[in-house]
Amino acid sequence: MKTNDQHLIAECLTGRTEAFGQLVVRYQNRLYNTLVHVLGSADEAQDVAQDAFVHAFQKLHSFRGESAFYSWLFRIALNAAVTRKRKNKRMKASLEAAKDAAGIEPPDEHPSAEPSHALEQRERQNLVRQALSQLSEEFRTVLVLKEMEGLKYEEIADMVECPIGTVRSRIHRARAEMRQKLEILFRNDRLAE
Amino acid sequence: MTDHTPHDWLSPFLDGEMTADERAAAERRLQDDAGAQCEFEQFREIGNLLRALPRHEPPAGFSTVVLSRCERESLLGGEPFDARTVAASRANAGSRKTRSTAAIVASILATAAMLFLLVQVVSPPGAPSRDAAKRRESIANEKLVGTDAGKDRAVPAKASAQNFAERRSDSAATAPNPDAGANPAVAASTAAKSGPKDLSKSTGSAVTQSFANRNRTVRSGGQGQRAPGPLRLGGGGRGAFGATGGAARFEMGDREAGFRIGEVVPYLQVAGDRTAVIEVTVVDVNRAVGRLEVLLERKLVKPLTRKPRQQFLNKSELKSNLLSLKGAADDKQKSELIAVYVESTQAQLAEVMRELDRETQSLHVSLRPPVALGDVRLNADGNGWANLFRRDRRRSPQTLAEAAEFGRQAVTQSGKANEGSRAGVAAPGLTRRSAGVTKDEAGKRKTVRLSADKENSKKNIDDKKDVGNQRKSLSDQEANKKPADPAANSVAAAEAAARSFQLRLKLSDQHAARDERDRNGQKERFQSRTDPRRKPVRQAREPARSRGTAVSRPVQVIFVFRATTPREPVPAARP
Repeated sequence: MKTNDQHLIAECLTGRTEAFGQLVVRYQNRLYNTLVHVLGSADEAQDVAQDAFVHAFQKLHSFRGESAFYSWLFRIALNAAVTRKRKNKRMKASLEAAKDAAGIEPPDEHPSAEPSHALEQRERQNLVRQALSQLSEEFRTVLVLKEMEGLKYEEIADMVECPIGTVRSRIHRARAEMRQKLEILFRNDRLAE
Repeated sequence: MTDHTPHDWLSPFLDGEMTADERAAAERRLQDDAGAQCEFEQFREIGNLLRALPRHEPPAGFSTVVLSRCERESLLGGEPFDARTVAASRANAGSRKTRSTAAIVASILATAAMLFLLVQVVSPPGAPSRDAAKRRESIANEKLVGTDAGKDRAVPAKASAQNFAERRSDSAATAPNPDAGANPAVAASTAAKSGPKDLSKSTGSAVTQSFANRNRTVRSGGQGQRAPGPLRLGGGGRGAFGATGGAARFEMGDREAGFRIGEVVPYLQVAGDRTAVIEVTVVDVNRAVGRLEVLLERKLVKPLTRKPRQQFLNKSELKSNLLSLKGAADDKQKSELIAVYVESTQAQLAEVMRELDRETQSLHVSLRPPVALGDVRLNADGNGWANLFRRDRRRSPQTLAEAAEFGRQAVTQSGKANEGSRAGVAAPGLTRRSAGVTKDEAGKRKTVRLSADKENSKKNIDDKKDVGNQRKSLSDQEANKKPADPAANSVAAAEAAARSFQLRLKLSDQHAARDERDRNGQKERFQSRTDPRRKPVRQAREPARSRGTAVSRPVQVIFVFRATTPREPVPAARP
């Protein structure tokens, strides 16, 4: 993947901008999904993702390839989000609002998505989404990157531009907060068992 | 952090971020600590819950939008990017290529439009390109027929059009500075001698402008030149207007330059106490007069709204004269003629003329010799105002100039002088418009009134010969009655307008009272002339002639608007 990304970047730098299109197609879903959970707004995530890709295209010549392209892209996205937040001052760290802005919830195609089970599943998701939205942006970012993106601490540290120890601490604190916020959910699960 | 648990090793252990030794130690601690086991399970469950959240996907076309933005931001000079990328981005395939091509075409068109507007702004109207000359040349070959807007076009001769374009190009090449001085330029008119043309019914603004633009007399590049045209002044120099007729042409074809105060004021100064006559040839007379009315209003030149007495306007006689003239003349040669009498200051007048030239498509303007109204003898054929002045003749020098002075004094005494300048739009005999404008539909009939004065008729005939009258086939007797020369008609219309204006002044209350005294007998009139109470009037008259500066001195001007027709082309100036 990384090699392929570097190849596409090299092609793009030689003038074949279609290669950058392939990079966009490759990472747009991942970046957008992460930004939705981190920023808490689908609209904000879309704007920030666009800005991130545009800035990446403009600064592609400065990409040295020392890290993964997605890490570099996500770092740009975070910076773009900060810039956008300063400009607009309308960032709402509310995943509930993100749900409303995102419109219809993506259907759960899991076989167990039966009506009774779907309602319970939706309740659990709402609780998790609400708990996540109540985290600070620093904790939420690293937690999303770790749990949802499956990134390593080093990668997360590279993305958020902080030491690995800080990432480790933030992740643990974020999990601890989530554990407190989801205490009701865990208690019900114990009762159900 | 609300709950900083001591099990901070759980997250690295869960995430696999430990070395082998650390992991082994963590496993041992986890087996011994039930609370750590519970917390570890909950951390794992949190991960499962987060990963179970539905994934969001960007809207359709997200990548297209992103790439479009990338291209646009690069082309618009955002963050500098690899030039090769920017150059290559214009050659993309698919929809991007289409959008890029459209953007390039749009930018080219916008640039062309900007350049065109820039040329229009920078270059004076008198500097058309060679293409414009060719276009005029092609237009010159068209024929003007009917009233259709698309066909109502003048047909300047091919050579004239070419000369027109060349002259304008040359004038542009010789630094066309609008403020280069107050030099009346020589008429380089477009002598249209082709084809049957009739603009009498073409009053559309588009046609008007089109025709005016094509037939517009242009200002030549020479400084202070004056064409020894057919109507040449005796004095020859600017402002040296003779009293024996003829006209000096002050062409105001160059719209940007316009008519300057420096050109008008000398003429008005030379005119002195006489009434200046400014003949304006336009395509649409009504429109031009309307604009003049508006401009006069802007310059606080009040319209004279006093309605003349009906007995002074013998409509039936005028109508009969008009019909006779109409019968003698060719119906196709009917030309609309409207005279406007204006009393204002020179500055006001110059401003009005400048704006009039700017707002109307005046083909050319001729500064005709000022009319000494006293020289124009009134006929005794008995229309209202003629009778009026016959009565005045018995007690005064019997000139219109003095009658005008009487009228001005009458207005002054009635308090209307405080209103400042005033204007009267008049031509004898016909309907009066709501705005106080009396319209003249046939200026020829005024020559009938003038024909009683043989001397003046002789002048008209001389003028007619000088300009090469188009109606040489008419007999001398008929010519005495109706000088067919349009210029002579214009002068006659102007004089008639002035008389009509004087008539209106006569209708002031003071003058009516004076007429009442006149009717009481000659003795009483003699006494009234010798009445010491008239002295203030005479004393007030003298300062009125010399008061003020040159630009503030009141002047009397008669605008004569005449419509040009293709049959009656704009007189060409001699080289």
